[in-house]
Amino acid sequence: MENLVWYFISLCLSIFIYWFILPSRWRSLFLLLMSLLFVSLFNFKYVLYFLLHMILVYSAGLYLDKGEKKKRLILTFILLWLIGNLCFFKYSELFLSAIVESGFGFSWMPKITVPTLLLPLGMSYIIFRLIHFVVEVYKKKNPKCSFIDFGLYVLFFPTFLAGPVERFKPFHTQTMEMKAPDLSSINQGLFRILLGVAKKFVVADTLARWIIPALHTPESHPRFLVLLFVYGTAIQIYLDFSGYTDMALGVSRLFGYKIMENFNRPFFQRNVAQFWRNWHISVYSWIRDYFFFPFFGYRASTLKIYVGIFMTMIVFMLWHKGNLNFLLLGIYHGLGLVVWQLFQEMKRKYPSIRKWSLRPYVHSIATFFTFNFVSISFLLFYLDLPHLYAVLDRIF
Amino acid sequence: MKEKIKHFIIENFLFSERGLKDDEPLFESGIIDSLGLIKLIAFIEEKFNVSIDMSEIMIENFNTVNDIMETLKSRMNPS
Repeated sequence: MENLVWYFISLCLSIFIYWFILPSRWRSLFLLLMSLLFVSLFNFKYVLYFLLHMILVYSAGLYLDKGEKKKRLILTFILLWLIGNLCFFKYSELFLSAIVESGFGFSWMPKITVPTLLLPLGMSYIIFRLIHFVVEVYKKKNPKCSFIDFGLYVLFFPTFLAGPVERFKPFHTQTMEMKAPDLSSINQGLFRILLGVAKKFVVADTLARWIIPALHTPESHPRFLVLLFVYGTAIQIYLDFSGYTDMALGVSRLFGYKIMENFNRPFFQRNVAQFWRNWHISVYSWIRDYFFFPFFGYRASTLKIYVGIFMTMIVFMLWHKGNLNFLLLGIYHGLGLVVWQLFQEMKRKYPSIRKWSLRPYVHSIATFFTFNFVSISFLLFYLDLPHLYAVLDRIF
Repeated sequence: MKEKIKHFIIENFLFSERGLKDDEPLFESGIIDSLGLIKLIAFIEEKFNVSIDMSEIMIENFNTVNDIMETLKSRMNPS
């Protein structure tokens, strides 16, 4: 609680200095320094680590913008370096643990304890922003910018911890065109922060305290109640994550930045493809643009595209967390998306199916089915497989 | 050209009798998804005998019928 109070006081002071004390040309630098300070509060080593990557990527960007030779090689190196770092911190412990626990090895080998690697906080999002920046510079799509403006985009503290992963161009445009504060933006920012606080700390945390323990003992509750717990889990995850997003967007707004939305009524979507287009929008669209299209989407056969859709969901889920549950989530939703695409093909081929699918009552059924399809899978956020099976067994 | 593109979108994605506006956002409204974009590009390349570069495969180049026409014209008349 004390930390929150200090954060609130610091935020108010920063906003005052940002808008009313500093000349406008110093605002980017001030925000960047605030962001570096924010990162250093978690661990000062993170600051050095991220600065190193920023210098590397920005320097590469300068060369890719002007240089002639070996551009593809430099881009490839930078991408492999960034992805390699991310995978190292996110997944090496998982692989090492799997090897050690499998017992693979010789009897004379000493028992080893897998060290816990401290994943730099916000790293997943930072790496995505760095990759986006350097690829767009390579494609000559990014405007020129100073290191300060680039650094601000990468480390912007309201979105540092949990996104959204804004694209560089709209962010930089706002940096360049930053005007005086207007009351409407401040109001919207404050409202968004309050909404986020209510969603996350009031509703989501309360639901979590109540539902998650209950899900571990489904046999103790009536079947209908367990089903409500399943729905409640999906709603809790949505409120938790979107609450963070609301706070991030609200604080961004107080500094004059309108950041992209991350959620758009996902539980009201009619099919699983539309659901994922409206859930964690910034990361899903990033993986679509920088993984699916480049590797699977260019002049691809139908089979390759379906494999691409499947793999994209696996990558998307493993990006969240590198463990069995999220791998299963990726497989589940990958298959769901492929099945949905096959249904789309059937609609193209058979007018009767197409006609049926356009009926209003079908839309309602489809929305309800999609919600159930997603809700069941979201149990994997909190339950291991035996507990998941127990819940499903209780319901069905 | 525009009518052929609109007809393709209506027949393959909209599945509806209603018309399609030239400035209707195809992706935001959920009419077309990522796979749909690939199919649309394949159709454009085959129908109009143009080649769309991989660097141009972005939502903003195909987000509305107007955007598609602009992209198509730039491929047909490269400056």
